[in-house]
Amino acid sequence: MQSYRSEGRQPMTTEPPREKLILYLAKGLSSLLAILLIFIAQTVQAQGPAVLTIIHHDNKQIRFDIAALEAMDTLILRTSTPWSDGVQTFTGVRLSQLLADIGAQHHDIEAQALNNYKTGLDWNTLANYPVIIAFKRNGQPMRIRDKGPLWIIYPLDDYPELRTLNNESKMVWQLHRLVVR
Amino acid sequence: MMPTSTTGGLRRSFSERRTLPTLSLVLALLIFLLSLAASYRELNRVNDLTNLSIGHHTHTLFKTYEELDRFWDSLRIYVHPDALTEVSREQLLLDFELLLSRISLFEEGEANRDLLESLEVRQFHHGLKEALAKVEPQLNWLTPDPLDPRYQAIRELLQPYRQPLFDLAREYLISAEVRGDQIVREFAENSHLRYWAMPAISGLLLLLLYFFQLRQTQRLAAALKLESRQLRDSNERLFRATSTLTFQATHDPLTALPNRTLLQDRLEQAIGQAQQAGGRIAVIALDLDRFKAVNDSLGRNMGDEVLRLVAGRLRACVGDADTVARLDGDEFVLLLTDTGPDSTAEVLNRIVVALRRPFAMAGEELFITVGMGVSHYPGDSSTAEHLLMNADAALYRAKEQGRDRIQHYLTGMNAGEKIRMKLERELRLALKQQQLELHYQPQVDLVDGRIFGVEALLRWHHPQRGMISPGEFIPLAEETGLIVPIGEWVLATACRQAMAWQAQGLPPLKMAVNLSPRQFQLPGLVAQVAKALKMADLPPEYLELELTESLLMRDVEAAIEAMKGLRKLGVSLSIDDFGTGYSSLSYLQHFPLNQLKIDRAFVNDVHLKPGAGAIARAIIAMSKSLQLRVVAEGIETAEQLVFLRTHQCDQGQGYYFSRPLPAREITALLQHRPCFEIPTLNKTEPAGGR
Repeated sequence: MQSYRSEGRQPMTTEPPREKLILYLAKGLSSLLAILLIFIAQTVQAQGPAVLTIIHHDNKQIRFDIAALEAMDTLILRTSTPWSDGVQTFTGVRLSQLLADIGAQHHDIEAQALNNYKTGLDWNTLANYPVIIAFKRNGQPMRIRDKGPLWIIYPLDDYPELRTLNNESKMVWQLHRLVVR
Repeated sequence: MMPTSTTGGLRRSFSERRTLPTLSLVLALLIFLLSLAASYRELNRVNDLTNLSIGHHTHTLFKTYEELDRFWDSLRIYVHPDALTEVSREQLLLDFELLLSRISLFEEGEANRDLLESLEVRQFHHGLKEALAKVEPQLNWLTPDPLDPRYQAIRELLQPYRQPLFDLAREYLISAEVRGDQIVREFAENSHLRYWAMPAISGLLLLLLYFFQLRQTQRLAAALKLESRQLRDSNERLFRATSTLTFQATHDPLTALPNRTLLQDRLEQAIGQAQQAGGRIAVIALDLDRFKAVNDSLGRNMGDEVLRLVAGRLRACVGDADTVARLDGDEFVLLLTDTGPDSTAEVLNRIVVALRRPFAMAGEELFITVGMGVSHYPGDSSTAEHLLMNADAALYRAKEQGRDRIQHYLTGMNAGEKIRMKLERELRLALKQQQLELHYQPQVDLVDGRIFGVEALLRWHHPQRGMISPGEFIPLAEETGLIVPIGEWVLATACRQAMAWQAQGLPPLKMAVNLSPRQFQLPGLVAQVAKALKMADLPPEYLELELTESLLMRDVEAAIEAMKGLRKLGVSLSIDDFGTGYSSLSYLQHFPLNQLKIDRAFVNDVHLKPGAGAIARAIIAMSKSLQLRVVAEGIETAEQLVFLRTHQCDQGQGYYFSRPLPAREITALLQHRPCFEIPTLNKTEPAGGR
């Protein structure tokens, strides 16, 4: 089993000059702490709860927490959907890129939601259009009641040809599992 | 044949006549496709509409019912867990979240907006939403205890919505079905005429066009027949031109015999046929003896004439199915197909007889002999390439034996060449991968036993074959020119090593390095030696270059010049293997030498054969009188040493003292035993002829 993680970054603050010594000490300590954290992070399997599980052919399971997804190259899509009012801004990971990263390109997949909804996604569409797994909507993480934490978003506004019933049925909300076929 | 203008006119009228039907055909097809596409789109739209109205609304309502029910069940099991079913708090909260998310679908987005237009749905939605808002705080504190009042409170809040929601969903499903039916009926009644008319019209049009085209095609066929006759004529002309070109590409212009390309072709073809029919093939490589002399004495034109005549006679010696090819110069190859050993011998005999008749050239009679090499299929090889190679190898052997010879290929004729080529490849690699190494044999002062110098000797560590002696690879290196980089490497390495010993505080040694003939003839030799000395920072007096006797005698004047150049650098020069070559003693005084080395052949037998001893003594005496140092090579026994010592030989080297050693062993030797013991001279020396 593999797990993807990200390390947090310490914010820099400015201090009055008289406390320079303390500042140096604090810097030293924090860098020590950072190193310690890296070690701890490597021993613990996953930091946050897994929100997405990808099941490969050989039944290998790869789990992602939100931080792992945020650490990847993210894409911002602005589009309206039949289930929201007005244009929304979604932030997420390009699905084809995610599949390529784990070596599952050129495969069709099945997306499964928390409410047991299932649908198939074909590789060609994912490769040709920037379809994403969104983890933020308008800059905010999504609760389950807001169709979160993950929602497959097709760029319906940018590519009007995608606006078909078939494609809309593939915009799985409350996504939690991908099965590579 | 028709005049061109008529043909042109014919074509023009064709193209004019063809335009109209083609255009209408395309138009009809376009209409047909468009109408099909329109019908398809309309059908899809209707389908979508039906799906949308029936699908979305009933789906949402049913799902809401389903999720409310699931939460209801989860809640019950959460507080009444039994052995088989259990619901975790996480699962319960998840079901609640999913229910909330479903409820929000009613308000957000276009998909379900229509639902809220119904008053009934609006009231229901509003009520359930309010109830869920009240459920949430209760749920947060709920404990898995059937008596928890919150459990009862939640149930009371949700109970009023369960049955009405189910009824609502069912009602929607029924009305949607009715509406769906209505849509389908409307489509069937109103639209089908319109969507069927277009394909029908275009279909009819296509049919019409088909008949029109049929008539047109018949007319065209007649005209085409005419055109094809003209085409055949021009094709024939083209074919004639191409065959001339093909002939030129596959034949030798001088003799009109097939060239190498065609020979290769025919040979491969013959092999193919022989493979199937089990036949035999003979390949004869033939080469005129001393043809260069003919060319030189009679001139090129006469030489060409000889080749033409030879070609004619050869052609007459073989059958029609056989091939005589000229490769280049005076090289011919004969390909005899379907031969037995007897018939091959017969053809060879015929050739010899045919060529024995004199050639009349410019009023003179010219006699020609040839060498021939023969290889057989399938006996010697089964590929064209190897058959030719083997015949060539046999020819080479025939030429080696003299003029007018025939040689049949024998296994292994090519082997020597192959081994050489392999060795050459490996030698190149050896230089690159540093498989070469220098060993050093001490040179000892025979008076006090001190090591005063070493001779650098090249070794090749072959990764598979182990140590290879220089005798095996230096001649090859000379032939291929590899000696230049190898020599350079040897010089540089030896100089560096000599300096390294000095730097370690050991007594300075004279480093003797052998020069090969090819190296000695290099124009840049002096510069190369100077560079090696400079790079190593070695004073030139510590470098001695050893030359072989035969090398100096090849071109005495040039050798003297080269030696002078080297002496100017300050290095000393020595003659190796002295006594084995053909040194003219008179030249010896002209060579700017410092030292002679007595060949090991004389040292070996020095105390056994009186002749050898006499030569050794003579060389020592001559060196003394020419004021040259003298070193004896190959000293192996105490007896040899005593003899040499008795006759005032200054220096020696050999296994008696030490074999050639790697550098670090020499270092150890110098550190621990810089002097060898020299046996004291016996007064009653037996071999000493005083």
